[in-house]
Amino acid sequence: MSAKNSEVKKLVDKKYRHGFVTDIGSDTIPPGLNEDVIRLISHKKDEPQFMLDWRLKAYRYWETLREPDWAMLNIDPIDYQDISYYSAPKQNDDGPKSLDEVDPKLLETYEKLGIPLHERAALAGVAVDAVFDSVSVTTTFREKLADAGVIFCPFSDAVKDYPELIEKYLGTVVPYRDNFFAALNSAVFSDGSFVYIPKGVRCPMELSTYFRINEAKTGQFERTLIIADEGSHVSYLEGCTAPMRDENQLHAAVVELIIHKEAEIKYSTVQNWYPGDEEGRGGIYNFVTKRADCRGTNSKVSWTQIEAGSAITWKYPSCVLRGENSVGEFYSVAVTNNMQQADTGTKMLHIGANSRSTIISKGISAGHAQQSYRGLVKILPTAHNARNHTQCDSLLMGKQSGAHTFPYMEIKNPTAIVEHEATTSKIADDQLFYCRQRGLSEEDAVNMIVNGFCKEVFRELPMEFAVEAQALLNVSLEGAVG
Amino acid sequence: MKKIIQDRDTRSAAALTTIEAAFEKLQAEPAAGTPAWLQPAREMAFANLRDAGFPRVKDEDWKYTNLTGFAERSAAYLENQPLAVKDKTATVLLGDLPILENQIRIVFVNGLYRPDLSIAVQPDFDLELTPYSTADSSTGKNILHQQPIDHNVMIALNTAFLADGLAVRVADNKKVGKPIHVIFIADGQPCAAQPRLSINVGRNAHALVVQHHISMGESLTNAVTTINCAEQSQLLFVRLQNESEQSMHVANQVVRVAADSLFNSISIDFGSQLARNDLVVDLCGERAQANLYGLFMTNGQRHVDNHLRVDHHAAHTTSQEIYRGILNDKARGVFNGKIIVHTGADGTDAQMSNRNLLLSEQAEIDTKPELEIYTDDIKCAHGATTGQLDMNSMFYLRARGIPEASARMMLVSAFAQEIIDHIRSASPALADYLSTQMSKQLPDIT
Amino acid sequence: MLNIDNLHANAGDTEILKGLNLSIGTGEVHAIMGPNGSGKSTLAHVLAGRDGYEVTGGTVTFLGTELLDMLPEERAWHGIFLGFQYPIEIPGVNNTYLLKAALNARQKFRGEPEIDAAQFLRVIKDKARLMQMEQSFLNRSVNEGFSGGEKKRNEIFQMAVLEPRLAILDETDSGLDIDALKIVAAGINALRSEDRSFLIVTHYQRLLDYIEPDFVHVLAGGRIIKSGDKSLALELEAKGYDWVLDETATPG
Repeated sequence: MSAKNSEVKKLVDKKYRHGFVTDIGSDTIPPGLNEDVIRLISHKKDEPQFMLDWRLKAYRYWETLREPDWAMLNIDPIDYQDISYYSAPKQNDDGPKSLDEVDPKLLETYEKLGIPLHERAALAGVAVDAVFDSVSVTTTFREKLADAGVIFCPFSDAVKDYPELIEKYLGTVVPYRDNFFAALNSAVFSDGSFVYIPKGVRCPMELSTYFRINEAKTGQFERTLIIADEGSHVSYLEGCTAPMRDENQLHAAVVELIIHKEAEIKYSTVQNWYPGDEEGRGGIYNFVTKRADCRGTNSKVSWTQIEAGSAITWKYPSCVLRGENSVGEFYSVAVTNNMQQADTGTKMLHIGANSRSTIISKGISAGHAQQSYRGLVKILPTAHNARNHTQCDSLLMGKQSGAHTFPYMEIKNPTAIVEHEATTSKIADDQLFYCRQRGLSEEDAVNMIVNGFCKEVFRELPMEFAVEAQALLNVSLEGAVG
Repeated sequence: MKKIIQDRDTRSAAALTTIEAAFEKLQAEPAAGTPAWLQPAREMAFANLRDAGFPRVKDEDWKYTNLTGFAERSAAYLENQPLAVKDKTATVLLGDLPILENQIRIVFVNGLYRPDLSIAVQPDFDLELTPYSTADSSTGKNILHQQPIDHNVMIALNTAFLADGLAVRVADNKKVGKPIHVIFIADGQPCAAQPRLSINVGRNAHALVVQHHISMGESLTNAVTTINCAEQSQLLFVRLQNESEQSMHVANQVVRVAADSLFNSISIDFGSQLARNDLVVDLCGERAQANLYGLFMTNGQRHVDNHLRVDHHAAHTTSQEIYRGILNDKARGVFNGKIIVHTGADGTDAQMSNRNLLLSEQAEIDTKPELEIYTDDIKCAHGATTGQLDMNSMFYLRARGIPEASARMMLVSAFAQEIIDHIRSASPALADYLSTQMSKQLPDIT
Repeated sequence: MLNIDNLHANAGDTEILKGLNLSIGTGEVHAIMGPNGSGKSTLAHVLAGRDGYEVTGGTVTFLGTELLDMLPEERAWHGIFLGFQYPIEIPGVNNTYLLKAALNARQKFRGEPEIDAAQFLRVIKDKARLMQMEQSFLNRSVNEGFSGGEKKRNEIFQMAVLEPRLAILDETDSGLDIDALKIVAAGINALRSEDRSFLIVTHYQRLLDYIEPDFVHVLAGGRIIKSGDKSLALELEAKGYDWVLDETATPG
């Protein structure tokens, strides 16, 4: 019983929904990368000397590196001299403004993306930092958060307003020597979000950052730093979109999380960068280094990611479980369709006694897409009674699609229990037929089964975003059946 | 760290230079008895070894196993190239081994065939057992045909210094139910043994082959086995490595399985200071099937590494991999299983499982069960677990009055026995022998 | 309601149905019995539109429409329900959610508005009670972790919610103990009505002790070889299938 091809075709023709371009004057520096460019970025941001020194060290180190090639990705060579490393909407280059002064075109852009920035129209209980190309446009609810003692601001503001916190924590989780893309980011990063939750504070709202690449020929290199001091709690979400363009654009981000004693960070990502067209033209190259350092006893971090966009995804949000009883979690849904490629997973480094980690990874690969799960669970001799459970499932939709699993387990403590399970299969014909017999169309049946497959992960998302994630998944797989 | 790695690579390179000199010397004056028909293959293989060099630490396949010591011991032994002196060691070692059901025993010492130690084989047209050293040129070329000469550098090293080996040929429709016991002894003389075994199982034929390694002292073995299973054939292949605790042992098995045939393998490592085993299985024809079982038990500061790779090339092929490891003291175990399902291999069913017991504070296991899948109509799963003995089982046994130490031994033994039991129906004598060997290790292991 | 005329169908290269004729009137209960491998399940699957079967000849009309041209979901929308012999587990898909989506898909097909959520909940609660299913079953994933009996009860529960015109029950009695069988049969009987027909596929007469059929057919070798009333089922139970096979055997 073959699907009604016309129906499927109709669905395929629905396109990426965030692919529009905002026509706005911008201050974009010419393509190219050298020490002068780095000095220029640092100068534009009016940074203290220690930041410039750090950037230059990172740049000099980066120059000695070559791109990593161990991931299962086919990437056209990237010309790092053909990228502009700084682009900002015109009016916005002299520091933060009140919302009234923000260009209405920008507000409209975010409105179109479903992220209203006027506080009265905003999602209740969610504060937003809106990053447009290289700069933060505005951050909502700053005052309300400040009342609770929470700092939530653009990274560039934090460098000026809280230099002691930046100097103390920057690069302590992801040093600039960590890897090629982390070094590049450290040298040229322009903006991002900074969050500090003081001792004992439960952040009163969800925090979120919305990243938008707009300008052509630019890269986005944001850096996020979140510090949860003792006994604090925060839930943070990031979303990402970009216009449809025929050329690839580079996005290389670094996220550092520091979690002190008894504190918890819940970090969720809905990544929907432009994935390129059906032939694989265009799309974002997404190289991200994310790491959480659970420094204190009973600290906890939870990464949840919905990876639906990007032509290339290279991303391994990791947990360093240093504290006793610390907990690391990684929940991931990655969807690749057409010519998309993703090599993603996590690292769980168990150092503290009784540290526990959970990995649930759900991969869906359709069309000609290739997807890999790559994970490391490492139990050091000090991690007595450490526990890890990994469940890693892949669903294939299409003869040309691929799903690969590379789990590394290095266990140096006998009291640890490490369990890994993985399955790969296509959507079962029996399940499809069952749903259709009950009256669901094939497309709906697929969506329902795929959503069921991903349910364990969706459950981890904050309520406001779970629905969006589910819808995104359905859109990403449109046309995958037939 | 970087310094250490560089240092290792430099030492391996130096070892290779020594080996090159040894090779040239050997080419100039070949050892007596080396078949001339091996010559071209040896030269080709050596050229490849020289170009590729020994595996480096950064090679993904050698991430957890350092081969520098092996390279250096190879160089030292090959430099001397002593003629194997016949002494009593081999006889003593053989004395401990069982005579298996069908009384066929072929013995090699330091890689060379020893008719005096072998148990006479009745000439049989349907079951040919041909030592390379006795093969004439046309038979020899036939033997070499279809064999990998330089599939990887270790196979290239074996080929380059190959002096002897055994070709097993089971004719079409011949059913050899009982074991063909091939014993490779490394007697501890400074000799780099390069054992070679090639097995061809004909259409609709059945066979059981046991490749058995034992040694004394600081032996060095680099074994290569090539297996071809023709259509509708069945082969049970047992590899047993029970060498001395000072030995270094590298082994490669390259297996091709044709349509409708069944390849079962049981791979057991008890011995060696450094053991590395690579089993590569290609399921080439439709409905070809492979079941691969493995057990490794080690203690002290020893290291054992099992690499598996199964390629599903054809439709409706199935494979199952079940490996278990038991590690004590400061021992380190490595398991790497890779299943690759190629485009067109629809209807593939592949299941892999690796379970490990860590019995001491300083033991370590690195395990990596991988899947690479390039088509959608498949069913694949893998799992790996590592931990200690199950506390509930321990408690249960102790509550029944069994002392803790015995309870531990009982549970470890049961864990290992499940792998050994796969041999029992085919060869009770071998299963009994393995159980005994396993039990002997237990007090050290648990 | 349903008219099957000279139906031929293959599974792979093997012809399973070899010219089957069957006519089911509105409100009738038909039982199809037959030895293993006679084509009973194939018939059920072909009617519901499962992949893997090729119809090589004949026609099937359902309520005046050609059935074989339709997709499985379209058949469901027209009122065909298949109770599966082996109900599949669908991890992560909530039982109630599936039913709601199924009902709404049918509403959409009929051009009617989506069903009211509160009313829907009342309906499923009532029907669950009918099948003596606990509330918790409704919120579990479809058939996941259900016992054999629970799966079969869930099938009849789904039928009760979806209210089909023609229910095809494929070996619904297999794997049920006597208590579960009674519950399932009671559920089916409660759903008998003037405008709903049943096609009950079974190997044993047992189920028919509880659900009285109007007609009984014997399927063998891909054809209906004998039809009768409920007494035929009893006769089959007493004498076995060989008796009919012998009786209807044609020389050559």
